[in-house]
Amino acid sequence: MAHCCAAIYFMNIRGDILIERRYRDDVERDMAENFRTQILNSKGESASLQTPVRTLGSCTFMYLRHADLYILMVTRNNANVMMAFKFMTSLVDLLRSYFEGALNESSVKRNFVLIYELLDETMDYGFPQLTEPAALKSFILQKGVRSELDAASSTQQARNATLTVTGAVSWRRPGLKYSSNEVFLDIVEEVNLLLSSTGAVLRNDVAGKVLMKCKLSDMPELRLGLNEALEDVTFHQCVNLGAYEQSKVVTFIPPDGEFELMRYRTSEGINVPFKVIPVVKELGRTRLEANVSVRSLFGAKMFALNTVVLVPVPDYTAKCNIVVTSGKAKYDATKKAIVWKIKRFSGACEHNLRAEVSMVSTTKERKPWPRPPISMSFQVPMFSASGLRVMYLKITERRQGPAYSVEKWVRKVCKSGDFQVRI
Amino acid sequence: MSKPRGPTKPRGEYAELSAQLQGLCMTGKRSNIELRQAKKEAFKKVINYMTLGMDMAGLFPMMTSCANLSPDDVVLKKMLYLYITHYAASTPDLALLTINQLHKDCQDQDPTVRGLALRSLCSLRIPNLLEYVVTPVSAGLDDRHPYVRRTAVMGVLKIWHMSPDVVEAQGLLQHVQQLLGQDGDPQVAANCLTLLMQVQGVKRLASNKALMYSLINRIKEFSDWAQCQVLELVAHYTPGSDAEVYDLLNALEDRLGVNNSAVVLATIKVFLYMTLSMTATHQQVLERVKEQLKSLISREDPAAVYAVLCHARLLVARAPMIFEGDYMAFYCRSHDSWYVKQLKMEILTLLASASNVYDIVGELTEYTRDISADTARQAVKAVGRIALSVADVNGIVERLLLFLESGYDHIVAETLVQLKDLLRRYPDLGEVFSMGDIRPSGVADPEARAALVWILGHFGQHIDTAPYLLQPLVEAFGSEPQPVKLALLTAAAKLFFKKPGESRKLLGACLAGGLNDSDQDVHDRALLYYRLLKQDVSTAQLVIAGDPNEPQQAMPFFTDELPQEAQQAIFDEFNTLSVVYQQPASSFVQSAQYHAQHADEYDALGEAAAADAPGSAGSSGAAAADGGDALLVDTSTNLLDSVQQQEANLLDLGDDEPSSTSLAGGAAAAAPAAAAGLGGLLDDDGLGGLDSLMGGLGGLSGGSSSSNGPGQQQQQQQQQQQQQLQLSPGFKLMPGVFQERWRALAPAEQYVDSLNMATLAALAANDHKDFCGHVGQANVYTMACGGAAPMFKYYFYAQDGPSQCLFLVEMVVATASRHATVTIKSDAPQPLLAQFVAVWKTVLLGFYR
Repeated sequence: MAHCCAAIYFMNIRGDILIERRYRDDVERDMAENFRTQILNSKGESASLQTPVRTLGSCTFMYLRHADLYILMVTRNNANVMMAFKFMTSLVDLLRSYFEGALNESSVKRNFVLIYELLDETMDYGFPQLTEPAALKSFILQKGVRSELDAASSTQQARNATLTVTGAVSWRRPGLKYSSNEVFLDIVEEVNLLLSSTGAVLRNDVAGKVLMKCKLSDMPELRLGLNEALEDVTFHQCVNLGAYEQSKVVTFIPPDGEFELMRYRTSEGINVPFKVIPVVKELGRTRLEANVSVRSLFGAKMFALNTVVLVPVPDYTAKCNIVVTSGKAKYDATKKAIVWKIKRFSGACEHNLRAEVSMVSTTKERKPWPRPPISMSFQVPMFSASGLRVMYLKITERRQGPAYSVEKWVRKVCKSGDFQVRI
Repeated sequence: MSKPRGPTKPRGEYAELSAQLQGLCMTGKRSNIELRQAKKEAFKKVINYMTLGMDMAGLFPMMTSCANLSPDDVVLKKMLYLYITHYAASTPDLALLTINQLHKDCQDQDPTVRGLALRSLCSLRIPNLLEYVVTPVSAGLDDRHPYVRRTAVMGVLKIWHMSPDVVEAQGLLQHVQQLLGQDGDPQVAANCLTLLMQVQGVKRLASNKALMYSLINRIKEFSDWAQCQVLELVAHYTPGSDAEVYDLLNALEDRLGVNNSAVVLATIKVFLYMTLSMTATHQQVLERVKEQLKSLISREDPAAVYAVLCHARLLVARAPMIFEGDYMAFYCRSHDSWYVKQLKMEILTLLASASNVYDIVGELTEYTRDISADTARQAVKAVGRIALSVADVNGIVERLLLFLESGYDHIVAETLVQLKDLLRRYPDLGEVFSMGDIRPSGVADPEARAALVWILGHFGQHIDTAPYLLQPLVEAFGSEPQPVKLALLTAAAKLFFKKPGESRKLLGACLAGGLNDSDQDVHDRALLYYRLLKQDVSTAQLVIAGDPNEPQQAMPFFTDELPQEAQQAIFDEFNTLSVVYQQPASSFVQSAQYHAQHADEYDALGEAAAADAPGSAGSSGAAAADGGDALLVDTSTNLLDSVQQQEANLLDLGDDEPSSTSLAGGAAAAAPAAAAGLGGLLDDDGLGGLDSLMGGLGGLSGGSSSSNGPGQQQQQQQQQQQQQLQLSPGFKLMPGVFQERWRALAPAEQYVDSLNMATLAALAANDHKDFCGHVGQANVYTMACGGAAPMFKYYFYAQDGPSQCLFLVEMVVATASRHATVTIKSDAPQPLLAQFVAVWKTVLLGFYR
């Protein structure tokens, strides 16, 4: 059935229990101890070699790792596994938003009372209840933020807030006030590319998300027009899906603060920001020659930041003579690669790397070099690999009408995901 | 319910905290911010130690009075209640003291406090205190604030788990049912739904069409999690007409576009279940949800991707055609975790068909260069499996053979293992390719070495150097691992029939090594071969290497593929852990011992849930004592294990199956002579005492074999196999099969034993597990066990290996009269049955005190 778990644990990497919240009594603390001794610290296999769902006896463990923490769910039933993992990621998001991004062992230790409070509200008897940060923040207050205010007024505020938690618009509470209304909209795209050694495209897709930060008073309705209808797209729960199906306009009443409005993915009509042409030749047993040329395919007015190209070389490399037309390149023995960094890569231009690699000579027979792929990472501001553009962002507030003015900011950035070229 | 007691607390700190709290109680009259802060710090320390597993139960009175003196501090209250619920079960007397305070808080002005108090009250989990819980919960259901109402609804569920009677008697269920229809707050409605799904069973609730439609209509009001519950309900609804199906699908289609992957997967489940009987639409649905799966795979966290991929694996296995063109979506990325890569490769294996196999194998070949040896091996394995499944074998086999030249030990090793399986399926390939110059002594991995040895033995006629390649291994026979030893014995025996002249010494050395071996299996196989060869060489050839005049038989399928019915059973539990484990819930959920009266366990059984559940809700949780049907949910069956077990057996059988040899007639004629030489050889090696050893063994096993003439040996052996009971170790039986057979068979043997008190106690000890474990040692396995005082019930099963006959045993123990009634049912012939009954009684005698 659709319950998630009988207990939730937070552990550090050694497996020490930081938080224990049991929702049902069919699991005991020993289970978590077993998890530590038999899964986390088992000999030979470290936790990184374990699948995220494990069983010991009739007990199932589902866990994920975040920073230096394990979040672990234990159940004896046939739980809804997808819900369990989604709940754990929602919990991570929730705690991160409480701790301003830093969810780790020390922040858990510092705030364990708060976490217990949240665990109490987010789940009851193994069934998820409410995980929306905006709604929870209105009545579970982080120590140090609100409790130093006048105790009486803050309790009063909390009491009022509770009344709205379970209302229809659970993600936003009414009566918000800002002196100036501001909306920030970021389109963040990750482009994945895999080219074969002959230059054929093996995989090419873009995974994007639209992140928003709203500082808006009252109950505004936002309408976001995009230049194309996306095929594979999912939205935050605040978005009116019916309206999108009909008119392809994203209509929503936003939560307060930062949130992820939508995610999308496309594999058609992608603008690839870079073209990489590698020629890597092995000359006998001790020499290797690599020529890599990288050309930027975006407009001359744009530029890429922090471009790094990793050109792999064999393990037993002794020396590299490298010449580059731009940036800096050097051999990094730990990465087994030549690391070529270009701080600022202008649009519509080409840079080359030429390297002569000499290897240590031995009499022993060597295994052939597996020729791992060249990989590349970069950030291109204001570039959209999917071609997605914001046509308009309209904001209306029913009560204030035309008097409601908002400052709008739109940014775009294209990052490298898995960007690889086989050689 | 064991107490959560970890290491005992150091005295000093405990005493210090105790004193501190006491001090805070004394000065509690002066309420100021400083005091409040001090209390909070002290409470935090207590909670912290509690989390570390130290026993803090002794601080109960201090904690309570401390918090009671600052009644307006909500955070303090929360900490206190957390503390109370943590220790309530172990210290019920102390918990009783807090009931008053909790009751008072249930009347508080602040809904947060009311909800908190109610939740804590219900979480005490002490059956004796139930009477104090019911009234506030009942009042909470009518509270004016939704927060309290939804907490109260979950409270009803908690009470129901402790005592369904109380819920029934107080009419709480009717109350909740009303709320579900009327309450305007979505979360309250959602919790009502959750409760009723647990109590009444999903199927019965889903038959309430009006309710379901009203929930679908307001689904957008619900939180993501509540939507999952609604969708779960809809998935169990049986629509009246095709038109209704389309309506429902249209109404729910936008749920596929939600950001929460749990909702998406729940929707996919609805879509799949709804269209099961509409083949064409079902295909379309698969096409539709395919996109959703692909996007979940590309954007979720690794752990969630793992769960999604498990579901994708199931769907791909059901309908590979649909996913055939989308193989690129399952290509691995370099940053994927290894378990994601592994699943993706499994899916690629399932997807491979004539249209995409070259692309997939090409991609898999790239993965063999992965830094992780495990992933690289997995890739080779995937190529091997594809070669097995795709008819167009040649190109793929060549690719596999290329791996032999890769120069990497782990890749060569895995390739050998795969080649062996491939050759068993397609024996004709053995003539086509050469193994290159790989020497078994150079292969480090035992499994791979055993595989290579098998190939050398089985295809020895094509490989001129086979005996010489095996020679170094045989010389170091004693130091080889067990699988290699077994493979060596068989390979040497097979080679002996193919190349008697070159292999005589090899076989002699092997048998000598095997007979001296401390490993039972190795010893037995060597002994078997030796006796066979000694009695009659041509019969031995039939048994070991097969009939030389018949063509080689191919292995038609391997048992590691998930059988159809198991796959269906898993599909019936879509969107649960079953899909991850690839086992039906009945094999890993231990329900007979935990909460036998849960309705969801009936569901897990996947049968007649709707009919049973309401009955059990009313009938005082009598499910445990309610007879076999409810008990048959025990989980000692583990499908995966049994599959692996079977595969292991098959591998062994593979050696003994008939296989052709191109042995010339002359060589066959020479064989007896060689065997005669062999006897001498063995004697030369100082094994003169072997015969006496055999005599001794023969005497033990009934003295049947040694006294017979060589001509009857084969027949005799068969007879012996038929009549000698050999219970299969590790045998597994599905609960469904058990029930079916139990109904079908008439009792073959029935008797009553009387037990003494000590035996009774021993039976029930450790949740009956000791007894079941004891019986398991005799290869008689537990289907279900349990029950409380007036009656214990046990169901066991076993299988005779050679004849595949089943034995099913029911044992009912009446504790008052101390009688055990044993009923044995079986489809075995009388001699076997008699043997089984004897074994069974011996087993019981071994346990009786």
